[in-house]
Amino acid sequence: MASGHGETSSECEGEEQEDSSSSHSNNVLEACNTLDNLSLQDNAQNTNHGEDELSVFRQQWQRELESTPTTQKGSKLEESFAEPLTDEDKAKQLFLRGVEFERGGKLYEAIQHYKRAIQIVPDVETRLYEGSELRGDTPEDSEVEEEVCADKAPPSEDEDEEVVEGEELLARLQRILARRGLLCEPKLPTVSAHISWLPYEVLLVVLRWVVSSELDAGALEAAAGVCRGWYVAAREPDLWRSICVRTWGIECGTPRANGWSSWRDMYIARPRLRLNGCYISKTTYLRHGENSFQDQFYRPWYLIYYYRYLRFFPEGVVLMWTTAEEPVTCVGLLKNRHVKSGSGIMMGHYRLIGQKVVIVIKKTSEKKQVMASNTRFRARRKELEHEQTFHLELELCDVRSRRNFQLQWRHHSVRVRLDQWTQFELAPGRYPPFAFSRVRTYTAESHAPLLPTHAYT
Amino acid sequence: MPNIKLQSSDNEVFVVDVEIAKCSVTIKTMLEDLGMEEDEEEVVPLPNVNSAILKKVIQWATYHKDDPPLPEDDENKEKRTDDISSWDADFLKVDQGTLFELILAANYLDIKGLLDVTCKTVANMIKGKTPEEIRKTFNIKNDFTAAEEDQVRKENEWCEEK
Amino acid sequence: MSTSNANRPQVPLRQKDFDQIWGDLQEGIEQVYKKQYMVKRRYIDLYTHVYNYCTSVHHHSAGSSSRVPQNNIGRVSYTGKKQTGQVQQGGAQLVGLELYKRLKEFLRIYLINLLQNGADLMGEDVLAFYTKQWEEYQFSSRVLNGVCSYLNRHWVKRECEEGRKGIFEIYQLALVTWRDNLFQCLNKQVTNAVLKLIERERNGETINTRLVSGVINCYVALGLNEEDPSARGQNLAIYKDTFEAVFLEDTERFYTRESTDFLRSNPVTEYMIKAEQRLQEEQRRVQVYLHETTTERLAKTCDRVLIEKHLDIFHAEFQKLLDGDKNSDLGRMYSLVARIPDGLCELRRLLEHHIHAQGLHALDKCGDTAHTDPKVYVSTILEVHKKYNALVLVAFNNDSGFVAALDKACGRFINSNAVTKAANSSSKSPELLAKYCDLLLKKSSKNPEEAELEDTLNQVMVVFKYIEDKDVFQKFYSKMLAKRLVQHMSASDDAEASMISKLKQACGFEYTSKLQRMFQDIGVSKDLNENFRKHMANSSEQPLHIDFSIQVLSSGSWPFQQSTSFQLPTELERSVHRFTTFYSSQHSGRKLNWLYNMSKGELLTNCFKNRYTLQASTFQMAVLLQYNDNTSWTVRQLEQHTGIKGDFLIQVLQILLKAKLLVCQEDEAELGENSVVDLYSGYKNKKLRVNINIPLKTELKVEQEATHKHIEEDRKMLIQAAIVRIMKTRKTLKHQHLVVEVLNQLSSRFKPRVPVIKKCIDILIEKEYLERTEGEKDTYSYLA
Repeated sequence: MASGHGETSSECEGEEQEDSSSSHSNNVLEACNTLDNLSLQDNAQNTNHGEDELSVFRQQWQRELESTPTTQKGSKLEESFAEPLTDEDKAKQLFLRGVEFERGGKLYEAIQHYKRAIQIVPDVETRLYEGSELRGDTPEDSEVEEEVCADKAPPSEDEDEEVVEGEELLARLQRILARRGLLCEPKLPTVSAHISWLPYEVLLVVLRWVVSSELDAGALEAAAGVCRGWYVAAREPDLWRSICVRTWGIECGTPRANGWSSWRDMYIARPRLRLNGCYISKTTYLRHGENSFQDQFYRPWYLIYYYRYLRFFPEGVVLMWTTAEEPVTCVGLLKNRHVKSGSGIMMGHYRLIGQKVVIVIKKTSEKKQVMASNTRFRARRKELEHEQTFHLELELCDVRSRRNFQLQWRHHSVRVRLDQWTQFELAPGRYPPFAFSRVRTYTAESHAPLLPTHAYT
Repeated sequence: MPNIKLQSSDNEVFVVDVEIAKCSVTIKTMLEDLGMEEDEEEVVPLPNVNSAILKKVIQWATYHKDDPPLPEDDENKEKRTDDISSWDADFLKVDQGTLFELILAANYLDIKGLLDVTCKTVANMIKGKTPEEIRKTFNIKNDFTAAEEDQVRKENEWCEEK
Repeated sequence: MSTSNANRPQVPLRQKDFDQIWGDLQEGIEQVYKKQYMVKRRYIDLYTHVYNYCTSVHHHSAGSSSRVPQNNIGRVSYTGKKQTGQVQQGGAQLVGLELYKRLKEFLRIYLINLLQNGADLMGEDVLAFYTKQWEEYQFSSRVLNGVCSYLNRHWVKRECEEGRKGIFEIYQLALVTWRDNLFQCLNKQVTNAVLKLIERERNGETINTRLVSGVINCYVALGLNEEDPSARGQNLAIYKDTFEAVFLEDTERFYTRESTDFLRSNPVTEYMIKAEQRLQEEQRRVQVYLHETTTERLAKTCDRVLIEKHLDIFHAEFQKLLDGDKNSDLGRMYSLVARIPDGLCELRRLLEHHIHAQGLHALDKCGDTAHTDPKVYVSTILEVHKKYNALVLVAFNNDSGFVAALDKACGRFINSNAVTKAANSSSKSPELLAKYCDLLLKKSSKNPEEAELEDTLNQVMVVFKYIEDKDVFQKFYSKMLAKRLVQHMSASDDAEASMISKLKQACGFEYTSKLQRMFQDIGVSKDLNENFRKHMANSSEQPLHIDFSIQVLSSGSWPFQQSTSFQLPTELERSVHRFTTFYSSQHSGRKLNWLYNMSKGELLTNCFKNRYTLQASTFQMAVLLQYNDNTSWTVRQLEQHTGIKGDFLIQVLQILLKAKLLVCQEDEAELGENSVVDLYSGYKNKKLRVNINIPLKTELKVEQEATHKHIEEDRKMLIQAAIVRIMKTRKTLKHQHLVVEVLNQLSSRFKPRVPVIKKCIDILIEKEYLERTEGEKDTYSYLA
């Protein structure tokens, strides 16, 4: 049996089915309310046939309300509507409405009803078919038909533009877009092909390339600001879901489960490492040198300073570099995850658990690598001996309104030999926090597209 | 090598090596579905592609005919970090109109490699720009109302530079 | 650029455009399903229709009649939840639903119409109808899928990714629709017809297998994974449920009946041929027209019905076949029963029993000769082994279980049979085997060719493998080897070496170390003699006038005992003395003990008519040399002069008397101290060279007893050594475990008896190697 997309689909697929049936009836009623509102508006200045159907619908609606114990619509109505029906009955009813819609050529509505019916009882069609109730001509059927007709009454474009109370920008723009039939328009007339010629699915492909495998969400947000059509495309939950999955892994959970209203909200609000720049910390300290032989009073002091750079990539790869070089000369070298050996840049892996970043970096000193090419066996043993494993734990912090801006030290240790860990004392002077610094070149160019979510499953 | 005749929307006929034409999944599927007939004279019309674009598409396909097949699924695509080859870069030095028409043709004919490289080109034209700059680049009309634009800006504030 | 107008979505696709598209599209699809030839132009047209539909941004046309089917809102997903302000979204902007629904409906109606043509058909007609329609439908649907590939690529893919149920790629949609509309209604008829056809084939008719395979292919193809349409791999649920299950039931019924009927009127051997043939047929059946996954289940079903149910009959027949040596039937039965899990156990048991019985019987049949003639004994054993080894190899596929049964049976009858029972000792077998080796390796007129000998020795090893008391074999073997070496009786050094290496392979270095030492000693002695001869030649002293050769044997390795008292004849003294001096000059600190009883020499006679050369033992020489001084001696005198003890001397004399070299008035059995023994000057022999060196009876007897006694003592030592070894690593151990370990360790040598092990433990406790652990019953601990 076919089912379509429609209003009851949620941003979190699959969750709907788990809800109790009452929430479905809830949705139905909400929809009715909305429709009511709309039709009122429509009524004000509408064409004839819309009005006719509307009034027929009104009468039937009224009749139905009277026939039920409670005369008020609202929560009480919901209860009385939901209570006496078994799931199967409800599903059958929804399905039969769908049949009526379909017969009336209102396929979209039909699909919505079919879908809801199937969500409740997946094989509702066969059940109905077997029970040969298919042709039942209940009052509800015609009633719903009218209800939809009311919705269909086409409002003019101007009205579309008006803000419906409580409606989100996205929903409104989607509605407007559907009526206008264009994603965007040329500002100046043009004879050659224009970007507006690209169908929606191709625009989405372009946006995936814009986001790229390096997760340049900022560029996607910029695209959203271009025009209405692009706004709708750049808010596609599928894109944001892919971004989230790549940020936190396939086990990141749905936004709803984590308390966010959408994938995008989750991406914005949930702690994550920034990828479009470097976290940098500068350590400075004084060291005094040897007394001069000739002049006992000459005691030199040295000002020592160095930088630690952390550059995070999607999928748990991190580069760490400790060097005295200034950021200006350094950040460029951290653009790609593949670094030249001999540069002193170490590659490792990280995991983000809540706000805690755990980094493990294995370092094999370079001399050993040279030896590795000479005698394989001996070199391998040496390598094992001289391999160092760094273990870092940092905490991701906001600084005022700057999210995920700072990394504070929590733990730092190194393992030289098997099971022999040396933990460093995190003296504040030696371990100042990292601060984030955006590096534009990191996101300047796209090399690979953001993959669809299923590619990770 | 057998050939196939492709006809553009403006009725120009191109004789193309079948193997090259098959880089279009659409054509490949058609040939599989219908079978390669002996009838060499039968012309395959491509009503959605004009001759200028079809010519470019064939040029691209001819150059790439020996490329290793793309990974079956997207899984390995990650590793494909190679940048647009210099040949492709030259090939894509075209006006925007042609670029978009190439995208449409690649989409219509289902030529993944060409779609990738063209979409990537467009994407790199978008990246790093402000909305206004993007609009300017692509000659897009700003159809937001002032209130909408304001709201969009607010929504997007989180990622702005500080 | 006017030509690119078709690209331009500026003008939104209106409803009437869609209707137009659909009109043309439907016409085209009908054409596809009518199997009409489609030109490429048409195909591309249809593809383009779908493409244009999917890429258009659908427009809600203001003022269009609400009566006209509305598809346009398909793009919008407005109507969110107001309270939360959430927007319901997802895939909202892609186009395809309307087209998808129309396609689905088209397929449904097409199939409903099709069904009317086939609903009343039965038997082969329904199969012909079904397979033909299916093939065509499959083909057409593939074309349809190609035409709709843009819809698949975006809208369907997106819907599936969003987790929508019931949306498939168009080809799969076609399959699902077929399943729901045609398959559901016809499958009982069709499946029945297929089963009838298969039954007819089983009954020997020729059938059109393509009808069957067509249906099967269809059932397999219909197995879609609806939960996850993109999932790879087949879901065979339909095939399994609708066909395979029924088919297997049918098969079981068919063969239950057939096998019972057949067995009632035919011998089992015939039945086995039939069953084999049936199994092959069924296997081929799967290959020809069923799905490969059925192979196993079908085979299991057939095995159960054709074999397992009749196992009792098979077992009964097995014994008969063994008795009748029907090897090919045995092989057939084996390959049939091997198909049943654990089915072979009983056959193995029967085989073991049978071989054991055959072995015992064969040895019984030999009667007494087997007790005395090692050759008869060993070759009888080998014959039985060879016969059944061949059977296991050929008929039973060298199945490890059957090999084990053979080994077990052989081990049993070789170590315990009529011969060993008569001797009341299981060590009779190793003894006879060792003797057989001696026969083979000793120089004789009947020595076989090198290659043949090697072969025979290999066969000896076969028997050796089964011998439990390998230490007994070792004792006898080394004894006889020693004799062969000392007396230069070995037929071939190569054969000796080869045998030793075989034993080494079977039992390890330790087992053969003494044998090897013996072998080495002989080599060393050769050089020694050579050196001694040179030494003598260069020596200023007087030459010996006697050919003198000597073998120096290291005392630990050779199974010889020092001789009894003896006084070396003066004639030989000088030689012995010179050699002793020579030897101690070469090896200081070594003591030479003379084994006179193993020594021999040759005497030339001047006293008889002919000049004879007598080959004699040293004792005989000593006695005979006395007659250089006098031709008559009393026994006592001889005893005094030769230093040989009475009993022993009498035996020596008895042999000489028998050889008619000496004579005595009294009966040779009643020789006493005072009996007078004279030289018989009338001695005559056909040969001029006479061997009078015959082993003494007592010597033989003593030797054998000593051998057995040695064995017991050696065993005790080995057991003690094993115990100490085990305890050293384990420190403490329960009695039971210790015994088991000892048995384990020594199994390659002999089978220690448990009381002996106990005794050894006690000895070790006494010697303070072990102690009983205090407070723990039956536990020993090791004292370092």
